[in-house]
Amino acid sequence: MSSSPPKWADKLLERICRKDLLEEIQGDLHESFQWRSETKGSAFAKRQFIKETLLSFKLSNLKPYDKMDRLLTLVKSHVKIGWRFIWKTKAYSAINLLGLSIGIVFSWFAYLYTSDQLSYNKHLPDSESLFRMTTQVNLFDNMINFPGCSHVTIQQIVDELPEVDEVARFTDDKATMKLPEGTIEQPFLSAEKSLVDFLNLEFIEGEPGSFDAPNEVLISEKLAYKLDIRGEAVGSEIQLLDSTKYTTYRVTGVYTDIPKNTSIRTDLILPYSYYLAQSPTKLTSPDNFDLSVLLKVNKSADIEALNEKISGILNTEEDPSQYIPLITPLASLHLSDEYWASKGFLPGGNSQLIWFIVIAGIMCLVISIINYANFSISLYINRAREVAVRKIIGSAKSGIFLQLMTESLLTTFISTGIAIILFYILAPQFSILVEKQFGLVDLFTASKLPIIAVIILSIALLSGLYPSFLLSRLGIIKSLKGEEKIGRSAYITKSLLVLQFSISVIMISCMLIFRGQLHYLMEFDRGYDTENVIRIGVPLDLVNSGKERVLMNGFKSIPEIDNLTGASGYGMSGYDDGKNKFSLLFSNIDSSYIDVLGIKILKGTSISEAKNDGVLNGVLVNESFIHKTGIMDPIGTTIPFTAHGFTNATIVGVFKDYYAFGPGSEISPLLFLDKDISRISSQIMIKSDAEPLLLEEKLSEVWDEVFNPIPFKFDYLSDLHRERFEEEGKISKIAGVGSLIAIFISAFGLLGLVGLTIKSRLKELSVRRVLGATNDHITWMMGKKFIIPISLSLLIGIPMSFYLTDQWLANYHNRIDFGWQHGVIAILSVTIILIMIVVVQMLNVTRTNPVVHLKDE
Amino acid sequence: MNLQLGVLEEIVLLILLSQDHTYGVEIAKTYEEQFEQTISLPAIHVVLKRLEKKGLVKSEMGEPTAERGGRRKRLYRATQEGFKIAYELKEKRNNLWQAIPGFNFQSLIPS
Repeated sequence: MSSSPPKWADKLLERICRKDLLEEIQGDLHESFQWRSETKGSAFAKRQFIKETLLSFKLSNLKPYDKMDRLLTLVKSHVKIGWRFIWKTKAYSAINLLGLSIGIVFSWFAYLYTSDQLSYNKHLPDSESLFRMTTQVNLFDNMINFPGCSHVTIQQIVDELPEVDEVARFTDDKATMKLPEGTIEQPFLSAEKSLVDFLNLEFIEGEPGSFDAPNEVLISEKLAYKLDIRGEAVGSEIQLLDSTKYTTYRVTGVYTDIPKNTSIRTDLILPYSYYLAQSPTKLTSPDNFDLSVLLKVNKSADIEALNEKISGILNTEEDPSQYIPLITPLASLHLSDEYWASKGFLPGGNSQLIWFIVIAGIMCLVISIINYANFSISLYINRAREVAVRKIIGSAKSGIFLQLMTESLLTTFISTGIAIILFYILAPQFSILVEKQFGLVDLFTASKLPIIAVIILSIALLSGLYPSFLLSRLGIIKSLKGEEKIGRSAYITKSLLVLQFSISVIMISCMLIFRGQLHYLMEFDRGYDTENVIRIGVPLDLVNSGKERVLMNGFKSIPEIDNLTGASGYGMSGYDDGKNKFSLLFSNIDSSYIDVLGIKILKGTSISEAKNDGVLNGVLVNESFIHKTGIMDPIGTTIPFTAHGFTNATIVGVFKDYYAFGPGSEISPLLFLDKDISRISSQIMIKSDAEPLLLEEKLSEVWDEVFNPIPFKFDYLSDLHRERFEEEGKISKIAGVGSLIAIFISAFGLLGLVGLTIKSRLKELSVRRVLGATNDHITWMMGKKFIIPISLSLLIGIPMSFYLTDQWLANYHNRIDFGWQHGVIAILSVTIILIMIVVVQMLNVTRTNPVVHLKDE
Repeated sequence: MNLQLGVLEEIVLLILLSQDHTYGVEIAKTYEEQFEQTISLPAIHVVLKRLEKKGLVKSEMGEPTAERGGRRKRLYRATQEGFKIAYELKEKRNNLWQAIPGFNFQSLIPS
């Protein structure tokens, strides 16, 4: 017979199986192996042999307890000795354990957050074949991505492309909803039935049916609770404020709340007919991209080919379209850099933030592992004698190795226990920081436990491996004589220290840079006033109804208001004068807009003054516009700009550039035209330095007269601007926490190392003191040993952090530079920590009588 | 009398009854011939141990053979008790079968 059963399986069986049963089992397995390899081939026989071997490990087949007992006793004694050692060196062990626990907790948080962010949309049943539509618009020099699609386009795609199985069209909106007590502003989706299928909604009451009757709605369990109709929801009526009057809708189904890791979440779904009724003109307009669309693509379809087909669908042979529809997969949407939240799609995650959290988590873990290794090595030097005695008694290298590994495992388990407590305490804080609820429950879910266990075991392995390897190879005689000095390990200890402090320095300087940039962005001078300016949005469907003018007139009678203005948002148009082609932003303003926002006119006059002088088509442009077009003498120049039937624009003034979209982006060409041309005022800006609460009361009075029952809302422009930097704020907060932890753990490590070094030279130092060395002298003597590793870590850390932050800063149009002050602060903080630690540890020597340390032996 | 026998236990017992004495691999071979599906030896070993505990089979060590690498095999033989139980089970089954009326078969009889 050529083949034989796998050796390892056979050996394993011999090792573990009871002697009296072994002969039968092994014999049977071998014989059946021969038989099987003859009848069914050797590969099958081998597999079967392994399977049968493993299946034979039943409790009744195992070797009797007294044989296993030896191993158990050994492990028990290892654990006992380890525990005694931990107990004997209480202070150092406590530092070690705490450092390790903090590292573990931070890495858990990093893991939980990352896995949550990566899981977005992947739980949907067909997430791989779901795609979102966007439209890329080519406008002169600009390419703009709109996060939606026009109704016309999607119809064409459905008609022409067989690869597209199904589409779900939807859009979002908000309405005031009546509750049992009071009202709330309730966001909702108006969607086709297919969205319910795509999102795999589970209905606990009723069902959606075909979901096309205009007054049917679906609500989530959460909303059912809020409305207090849980259990009897089907057929209940809810009231939504539609422009000016309440409309009644009938609930036909209640679904369980949509999981938090879904990009499309809503508590209320209205039929698609709601959207159609709202804006019938949109159905035929090819350039209205505010429709959100999910496509379900045939599983066999080639996605790249499909994307190509879709992007070319609007092109005719002679006329390439400037609108290019595109599809992006839903599964990777959440963390995509080009992701725009819009019309039902909730804001995405921040891949930068994730990277940062992952890096910070790993770094904290590495620092704490290094701490452990350093501590173990330094502490075990004290145990060299113990190791030597054990070797003499007959312990093998592997035995001592096992002992030390057991200890590191024990330490890791204890710190895991501490970590769980820490996690429980810190979880609420972390949840606030990342705006996502985390608790112990998330840690102990079945899917995450293996990874959590792997993290713990790898910590034990990584931190214990090196010291165990080193110490199990100590020479016996030298150790006993006290001569063994582990020369190599001093270098390794020091280089580990360097690594640890480099990481701390990197974290500190990154934190400083993040904070600096955040502060810079917050306090950035945009070139116009934001203080004391209030913005009030006019309900979209009432813009142009004339009511906003009633509102403004009402506001004008409030004495606290210094000035007010109505304006449209920014529109975009193309500019083409034959030489230059670029996209141009424009805004319709009234006469007081310039004053309210404090925009400076550099040349010429305002539009209204020009009007008085007889120039009817006056426009204002900014410096960038002049710069881009290269017009030498702008005042009085006619430019080819058209909008809303407005032609023959004549420049009457040039105003100073300002950052309309914040310091993050460049200033683009901007043009102001008279508001009376389109009469659009979608927002009202008010300048007033009155006390906010008083002002709100007065404003809302006027508002209620005009727009009741729509609730009144107002914001200070400066607040709105600050809110834009939330992400930067988060990154800088996490950097702050991370660097604090890093420096904390590293300082702990250093504290221990300095203490141990001093301890090993206690007698020498005492003799020096007796002979007349001053305290300063011996403190310096001990401290200077750490100067080289610390300065080395500064040398590594500062350039590294410069490199890292430089890439991050490159995202911003306006940014701070990595300056000397960041380096100096990092150097100072590390040096101060070093000095403090050395001085504190030397107190033990300098504050006691040297005789105390010298009298014994 | 405890009649509780698993399906596999009963099959193994019947195989043992059909032969003078036999051992694990032989049982596996017979089983695979009959049912045309693979069975793992540990499963048979467990069943044999259980039957032995119930006193339905007894065992002794046989002679070493070359194909087992010189190891001896444990030979099993059904006891009187085993035969009685198997027989009783068969009787009970027969009784039950007789109670099944013919029309239940009609759908199964090929026309």
